[in-house]
Amino acid sequence: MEKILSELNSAVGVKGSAVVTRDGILVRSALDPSLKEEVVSALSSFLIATTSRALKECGIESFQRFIITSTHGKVILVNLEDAYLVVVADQFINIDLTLVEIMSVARKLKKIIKIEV
Amino acid sequence: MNILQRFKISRELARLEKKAREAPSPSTYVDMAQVYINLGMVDQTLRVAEEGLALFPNSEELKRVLKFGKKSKLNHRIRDLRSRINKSPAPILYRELASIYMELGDFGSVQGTCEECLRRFPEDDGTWLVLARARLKNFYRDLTAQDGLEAVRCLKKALALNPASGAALRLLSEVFYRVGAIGQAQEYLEKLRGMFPGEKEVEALWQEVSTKTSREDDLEVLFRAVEEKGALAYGPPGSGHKAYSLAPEQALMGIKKSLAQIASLEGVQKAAYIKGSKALVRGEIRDARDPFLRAARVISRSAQRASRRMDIGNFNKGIVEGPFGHFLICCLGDVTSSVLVDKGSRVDRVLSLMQDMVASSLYVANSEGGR
Repeated sequence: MEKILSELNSAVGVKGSAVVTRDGILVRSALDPSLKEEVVSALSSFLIATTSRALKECGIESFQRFIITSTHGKVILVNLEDAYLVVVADQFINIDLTLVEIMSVARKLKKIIKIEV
Repeated sequence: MNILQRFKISRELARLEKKAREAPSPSTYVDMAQVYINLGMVDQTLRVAEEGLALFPNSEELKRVLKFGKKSKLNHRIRDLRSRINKSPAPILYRELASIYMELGDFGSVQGTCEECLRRFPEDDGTWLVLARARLKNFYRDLTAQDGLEAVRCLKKALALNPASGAALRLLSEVFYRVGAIGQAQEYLEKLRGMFPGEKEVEALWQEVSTKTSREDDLEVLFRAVEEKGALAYGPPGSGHKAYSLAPEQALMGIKKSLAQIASLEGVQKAAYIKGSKALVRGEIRDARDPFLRAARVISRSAQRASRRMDIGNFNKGIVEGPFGHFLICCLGDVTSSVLVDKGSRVDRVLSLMQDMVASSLYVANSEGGR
């Protein structure tokens, strides 16, 4: 899993990636030293929980992907069913191109997670 | 380093310096700074980064180099201060050390240094002030109630030790004003006015505070409300911050028109323009309590909070995707626009219209505020 994440990190502009569970437990990570593991996992879990709860109130069961664009970076959350893939990137990435890579990694991770479970 | 290596480096530096003069580019300056970094020449690194930024102020790489240079310089100072503290500890040294950590954004070390100082010098009001400043910095950045309340506690402690501390009175008055504790802000401002009669800044804040009224006096409630809303009750003193209103009548027409245009696009189910507690809606939205509006507020607030904590700036845009379609959020300042669209719709087109609507409404609001 670490190898897959590291490969994803070699994409232009990707600062780090991690797999976290819904309740914030870090499964695996490959993050840039500027990103703290516990901060990324805690904030991802916070985002997943608040977004899922808010959507549920609207009658929406779950989400597959959440792309956050901020002034200095981007965060992409992808639902892997048993966990979430979190990717932190800088603001200059070509999101369309990187998303193709992220989704391919997400598919690989989904299989691994299922086997490990 | 042997003579040959030194020669190679100085030749490389001379080449880069020449290149920077003849054909300046951000990469030339970055390369030059990199050589100085490798040589451990912090002052030269800073000089090159500053020169580069003077010519290319938007270069992210040069900004990073400058930050790194500053950090290295401060690290030298940290080592120096640490050794001086070990030899003969003094509150002033601790305070300087804590301030450097604060500049580096290392809050854990600020707290550790201040606690160490207070164990040795419990009566030092200046250290409580440094601790309060660090907490306030976090509070104004993340709007977390715990930081705000802790800052108030530290400031009160500093004031108890030194009732004539103008800095503590100033910071307390300002934070009370900004969270909406007007009565308490007035109380501290009165003391400040007594200490510095006629001072412009104090008088300006006094004028501003005098026009406001408190809706709540419980500090805990006020700080929690700030955290909940993701916004302070009032802007910085002198900013002319006004109470929330959706927009002036003329601008409202423009927003309504933009919203109608978004709602008319194929696949758009719901569309909303939200400012504070007010909202304009189009599409299948029942009333102001529609869960869609709540979801838009909650998601944008949590994305804003996560962005700030992850140090990636302010949240601008969010796309939540799933079998239901796309939940789009566009956020600028205190304005949020949210749209729910079906799967397969032209998300880019909708997002660009949302951005235009939010940006133009801010422009109108700002120009009105400036009049």
